[in-house]
Amino acid sequence: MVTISFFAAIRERIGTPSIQFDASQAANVSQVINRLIETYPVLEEFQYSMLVAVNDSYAKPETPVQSGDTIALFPPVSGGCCD
Amino acid sequence: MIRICHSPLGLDEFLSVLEDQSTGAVVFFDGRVRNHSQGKEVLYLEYEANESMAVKEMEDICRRARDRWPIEKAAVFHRVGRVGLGESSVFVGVSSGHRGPAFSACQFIIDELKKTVPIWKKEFYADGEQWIGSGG
Repeated sequence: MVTISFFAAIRERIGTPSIQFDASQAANVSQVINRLIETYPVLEEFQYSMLVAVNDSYAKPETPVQSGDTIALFPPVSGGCCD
Repeated sequence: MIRICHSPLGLDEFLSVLEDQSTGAVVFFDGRVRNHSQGKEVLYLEYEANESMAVKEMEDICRRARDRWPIEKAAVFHRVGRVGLGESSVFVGVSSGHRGPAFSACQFIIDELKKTVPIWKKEFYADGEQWIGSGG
């Protein structure tokens, strides 16, 4: 199992801040996301814009994933203040 | 020092973090909530953070600033939750022997913060609300 956390607009669309997800068939970030989209089709609209972190570090599609990891999915960041 | 704050940012406490008698310059930036955005009247903002990762990213940005400029101290306090008009959402501060590196490092830190730190801003208007930069 891995923990998937959602933030901001993605959290609102999914309807929960985090889930436990069986990713035993998925070896990397890209495979986890494909499995997640099957369960949460609403994620598809964020597929090409969202950022992914594994254990609090930015990750790539090929970043490996193993049981116990925390995977965060979130939109482009917009903290700070005035542009 | 890096801190994510769930209540109003304390300026005295922030400036005390930057105190260092070997430094002659303290530059600090106070980012506040504006009452308008893209032609719309803003009532208030809400900030959300991936807190553990945001702290780690901000520490990394301060480390990169230290690698680049001769600064003594660097600090960021970022507010999360509901923030009202005119209130401070972020403080960035740097102390250094001289003003040049302090100005440069302070600007670097706030500019980088907006690129990589996982914090999101939602604007609330009289007729709705919108996540900024969400792409969704």
